[in-house]
Amino acid sequence: MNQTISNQLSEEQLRRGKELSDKLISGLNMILLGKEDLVDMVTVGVLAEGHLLLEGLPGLGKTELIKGLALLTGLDTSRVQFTPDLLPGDITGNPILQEVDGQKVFVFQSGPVFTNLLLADEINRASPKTQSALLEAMQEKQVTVLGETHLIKKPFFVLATQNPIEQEGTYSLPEAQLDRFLFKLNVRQNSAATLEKIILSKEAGQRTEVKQVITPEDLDELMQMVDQVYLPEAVVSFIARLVDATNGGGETEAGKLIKFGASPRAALSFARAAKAKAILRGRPNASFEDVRELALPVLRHRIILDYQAKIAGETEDSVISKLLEELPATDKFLPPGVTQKK
Amino acid sequence: MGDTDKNQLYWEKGIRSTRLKINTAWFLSALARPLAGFFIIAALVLFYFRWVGDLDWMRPSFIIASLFITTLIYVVVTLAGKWEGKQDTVVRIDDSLSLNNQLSMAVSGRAPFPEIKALPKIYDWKAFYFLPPLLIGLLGLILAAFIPIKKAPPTSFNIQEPLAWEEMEEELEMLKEEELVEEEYIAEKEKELEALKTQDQEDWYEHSSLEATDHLVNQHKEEKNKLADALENAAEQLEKMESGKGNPGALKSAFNEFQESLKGMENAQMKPNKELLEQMKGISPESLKQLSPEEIEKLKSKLQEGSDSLSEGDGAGDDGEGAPQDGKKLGNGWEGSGEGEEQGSGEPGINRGPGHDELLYGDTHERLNTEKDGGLEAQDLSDFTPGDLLELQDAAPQAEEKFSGVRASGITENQGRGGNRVWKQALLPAEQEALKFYFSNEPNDK
Repeated sequence: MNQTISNQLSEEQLRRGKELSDKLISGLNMILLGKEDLVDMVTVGVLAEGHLLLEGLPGLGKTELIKGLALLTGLDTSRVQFTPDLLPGDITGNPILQEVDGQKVFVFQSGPVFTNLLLADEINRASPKTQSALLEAMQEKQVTVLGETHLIKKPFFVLATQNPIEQEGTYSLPEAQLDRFLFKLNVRQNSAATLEKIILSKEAGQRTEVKQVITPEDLDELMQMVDQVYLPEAVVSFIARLVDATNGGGETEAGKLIKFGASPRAALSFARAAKAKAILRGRPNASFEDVRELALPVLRHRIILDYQAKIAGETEDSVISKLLEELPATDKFLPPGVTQKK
Repeated sequence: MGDTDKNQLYWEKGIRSTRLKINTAWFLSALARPLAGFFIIAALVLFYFRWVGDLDWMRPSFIIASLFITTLIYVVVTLAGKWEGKQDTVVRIDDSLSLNNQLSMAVSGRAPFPEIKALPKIYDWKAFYFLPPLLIGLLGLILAAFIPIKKAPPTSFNIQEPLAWEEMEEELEMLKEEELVEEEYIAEKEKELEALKTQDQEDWYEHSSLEATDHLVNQHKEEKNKLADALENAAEQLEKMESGKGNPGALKSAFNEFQESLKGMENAQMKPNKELLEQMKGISPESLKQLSPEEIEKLKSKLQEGSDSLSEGDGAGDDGEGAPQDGKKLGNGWEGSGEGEEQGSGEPGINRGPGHDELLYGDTHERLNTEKDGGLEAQDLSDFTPGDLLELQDAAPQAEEKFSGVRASGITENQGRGGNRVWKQALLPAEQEALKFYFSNEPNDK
């Protein structure tokens, strides 16, 4: 945070960062029509090197988006279709008894997790045991099997999709795993205009040619730029107060609707994502606006609402929105004789 | 000036003015309620001064000004740590204008100042926060200043001078008019009296003041009596000298007496007036022969008049007091009352009680008509107390049938040394009534 002015991003770097990220965004927008916000967030998540959880009904293009991302970045990709009978070893890999030089030894056969971009499709269809197989890989970016640790190559992202938990045959992801996802992005239904576009393009036999727009090296460069983005003290304070408010700090009304709040990992995710967002916007610094835009995807899967809030029909998103309205950018209060101008 | 500088100047000025506005809002918000309290207290102060009728505006103004300053100090103290800092204002502007923290970056020297934009209005005033307390306070102040009120009765009242001073004053005035006494004496006494009067009114009836008054009055009376006696004596001796002209021995004796009186007058504090004194000094057996009988008669009557005049003044003063302060009037009263422990009730004086009742030890005891030289049981049942009943007998007093010699009579067992007598006299009226009722009935009725 105590970044000096000398190692601040130059205009040139910022321009290049924006150019590269714009390429990625344009590519994704071509794959997924009418979901610009979602595409933005996915790009931010990739730049922040975070794992993403996409939730939505089947057929909304979640898998397409992730597959497209793999193509656009040229990253090594694996896809695992999570099913109830999937075992942890099916993800991490298994030691297989093999004959080597006339001796039978266990040789580790790496699983699909050893990749850059792991598409965990319908992750909540697998049992919790299998879901948990990803915990170590997501946090430490390594896999330990039979006491032997195997490093996963960088960058490593888990891009998971899940169906709404109300559906048949789903298992809720454990909180520990949810917390490891940088964002939880809701994939919503398309508008009629978008659907029209989709139908027309398919019926006309148009196939979207997806080509690699950035190299893994470019992506690495972008990630390094994220490190150099300046995070002002006031923004840090705002993030901290926001996360604290989910845990009842700051005496906000919305905070009282939350039973369990976000963890410190959420605050770190916030900071990282805000910086990535700044790169997308071509700015050398993160801002309050970035934090506010990121609040929903960062926090919605990290808070558990109080039963009274649920009875009152509140959702995670509505509570977070209220929290943002209540929480001023500065912790310095205005005098009691005035009201903040909205 | 380039655009960058212009932008910088604009934003810096904007930050300053916004900060000032917020801090003003802080000050006014913090001041509103204490100010209402101040108005109410000021109203009470004003009301009080109007009520007591103090028309001097200096005192209430000073108190109200002090209260106001105290209120301001209180407000400033309570605002410690709440004042808006520059960085806070920058963040507010950044946020209000959605500048993506560009202003913060510019202030810290990391980015150029943003393009000029209209400064945001950070807050709206809450009228209901300020108006009710201020209106109530102001209303109280206006009412306190203009509402018609009945003034309080004066708390300070004039304390009446001690009576002795007035009497003393009158007497000195009289002496002045009669021109009988030397003026220096009168002036001196007036000065002493004035010194007593110049004390605070509250001290007039203090022990020391009354003691001094008592002393002054007594001393004056003593001097007056001395002079009256001396003048009377001089008049008598003059008469003797006149009648003893043919008898040198008697003449000489009377002249000596006359000279003694004259000497006494000269040495006393209160001297007769100079003219009279000179005339008296001029009297000698030789000069007496040269004076005509009319002249001698005139001088004699002058001396007698002076004596009478002084004696009259004395009497007049005592009647008013009624207290045993004048030895002459009491006769054998208080002059002897200070002797011995038996009757030791002390001399009359300030805060020492008034002394014995007048004539308490006089000879006005009721005669019981026993007329026997023997010890008698007291039969005056009206003066009995319940404790004395133990000594009662049914039988009549048994006087001795046979004379057994001379014995001291009138000896009482109870010498009335205070406590016992006081106790007897201190019965409650109901107790006294019960006692009277008890003894007024026949023995059979008891």
